[in-house]
Amino acid sequence: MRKINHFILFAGLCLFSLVTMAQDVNYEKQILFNLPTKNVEGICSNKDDIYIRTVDSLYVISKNGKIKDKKPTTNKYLVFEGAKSYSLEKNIITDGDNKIIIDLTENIEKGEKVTKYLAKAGDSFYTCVLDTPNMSYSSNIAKVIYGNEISMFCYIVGIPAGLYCDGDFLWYLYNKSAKNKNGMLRIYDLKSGNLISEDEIPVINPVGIYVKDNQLFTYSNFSGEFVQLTKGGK
Amino acid sequence: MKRIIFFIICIFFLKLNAKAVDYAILVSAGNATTDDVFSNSEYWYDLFLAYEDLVLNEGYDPANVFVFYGNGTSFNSTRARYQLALHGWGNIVDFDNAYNTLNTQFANIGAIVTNNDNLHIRWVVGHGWGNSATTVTTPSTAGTGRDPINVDDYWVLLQNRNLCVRETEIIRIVNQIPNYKRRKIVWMTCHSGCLTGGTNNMNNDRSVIITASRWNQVSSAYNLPGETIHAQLNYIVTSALFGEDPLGTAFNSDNNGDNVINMWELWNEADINAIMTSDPQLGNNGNLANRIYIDEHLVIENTNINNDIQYLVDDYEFLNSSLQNGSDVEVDIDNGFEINGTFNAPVGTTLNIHP
Repeated sequence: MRKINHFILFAGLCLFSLVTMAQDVNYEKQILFNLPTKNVEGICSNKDDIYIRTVDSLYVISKNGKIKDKKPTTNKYLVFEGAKSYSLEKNIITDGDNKIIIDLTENIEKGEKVTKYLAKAGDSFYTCVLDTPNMSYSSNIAKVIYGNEISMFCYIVGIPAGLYCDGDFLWYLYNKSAKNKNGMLRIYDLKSGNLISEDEIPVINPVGIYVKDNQLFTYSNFSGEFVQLTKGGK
Repeated sequence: MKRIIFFIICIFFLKLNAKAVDYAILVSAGNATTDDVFSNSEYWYDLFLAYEDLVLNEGYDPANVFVFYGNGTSFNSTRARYQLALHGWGNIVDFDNAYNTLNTQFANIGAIVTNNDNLHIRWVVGHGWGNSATTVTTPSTAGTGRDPINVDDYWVLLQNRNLCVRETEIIRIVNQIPNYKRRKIVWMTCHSGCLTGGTNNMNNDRSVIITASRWNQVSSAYNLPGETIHAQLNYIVTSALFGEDPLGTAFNSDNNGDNVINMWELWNEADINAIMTSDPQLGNNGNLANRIYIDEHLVIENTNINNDIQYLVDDYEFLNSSLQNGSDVEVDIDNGFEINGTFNAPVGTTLNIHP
């Protein structure tokens, strides 16, 4: 009888783990440095430099946390690919020479939509297409290919906070509707669009994400901390 | 004496046909994985509220309410308002929301619903889009969705399955329940107005459908202050039916002063409510929406009717109520009519009861 009870308990736990997608995964959190701002809009990295953009400034920071540069900037989302850089501003993607690569204005602004965050893999960019000011169920992560071909990758969940792509997977960072809660992180398979995992991360109001050497990096607009997360830590 | 005043206790009791069964189908086209997350948690919250209203308020037998949700198991919400324990319920979910499950179970339900029964179908939460660029038949993997190019270019998405189903196919699945006396549909997705017009739609002379938006419109969510996230249409429709919102605040959408909510009033409230950013559509042929109710057993209680109102329901009861001079009330009943407690119908009023 005891064995049967154990089996039922085990089966129940298996079922529970299957139906509860949002896993309680441990992350080792390391605070790398602080910034005197809680208005960060996006982050990215290139080589050993970290780029943190607020509503009006762009910080360039060394990996030891030293501010190398701070300059006024416009509302750009940056992404680097090797030596090349790309930015998204007002629904237009440009390269490092300010040459327009993709202009989404006609596609996006018909419905008073805006694009936020930028990720790149191969010939494709990924960006969040959001209705403003409403929380529309049409808001989505779009895949944009050179030549302005735009298609939906998947629908948005939560309040978008960051995108990162490594060619195989898309990391999507989002926040809950309730204020000052831990962020949530989804990983999608780029080819199938299937959701691979969804985890809560121990960072309140995170914004921006990139992945480097299996480490996640993000910024907390609650604490003003730039943090490194290691999945599977304590 | 200009008025004839009746003080009656159980003066009238009329029984007609064999009692109809009220069936309801709730489909939540996703799976909540966490609380307080837009386009995720509503799959459970709005389903829970819709089920709660049907069972606790509209008189539906839980055995006749078929719930399709996620992987087939109730969500374990951290919010007490959305926990089964709130009402001492077990799992309220009957089936998962897989395409094959929907197809099979709608056919099975179709085998038991008769022309004497009533049917309420609610696509509680889901995504809708167009997919004109492809000729793919159903079902197909999501990933190429665009805005519809016309009113017949509509797909629904089973979000947790990354699977979309074409309008013609979803209508075929629903129409596997061909027999019913009255069919009342509420459908929440972007572009759901596609179901009220064009070549492919859910209109007929026994059906009324309320959708969240026009065919070329998106639908949106509402973050209830002090509470959590809901689809706009669901916040309004369920609150209107239940008489209060999820916080317990009174919510009155009665338009004609009879204290019961017909399908037209339900649509009208959604249409005029300030939180709504889309234009809900009402699809029906003929004057049906303002006569029929999701609750088929109306009790007009402590009410003074001062309007011309028509009712088409199974059971109707006046309880301590009256008609004001000049009002004209037409009641088409399929089962029973009762007057209980006090009843006042002065000369100049009309009360017609049609079995």
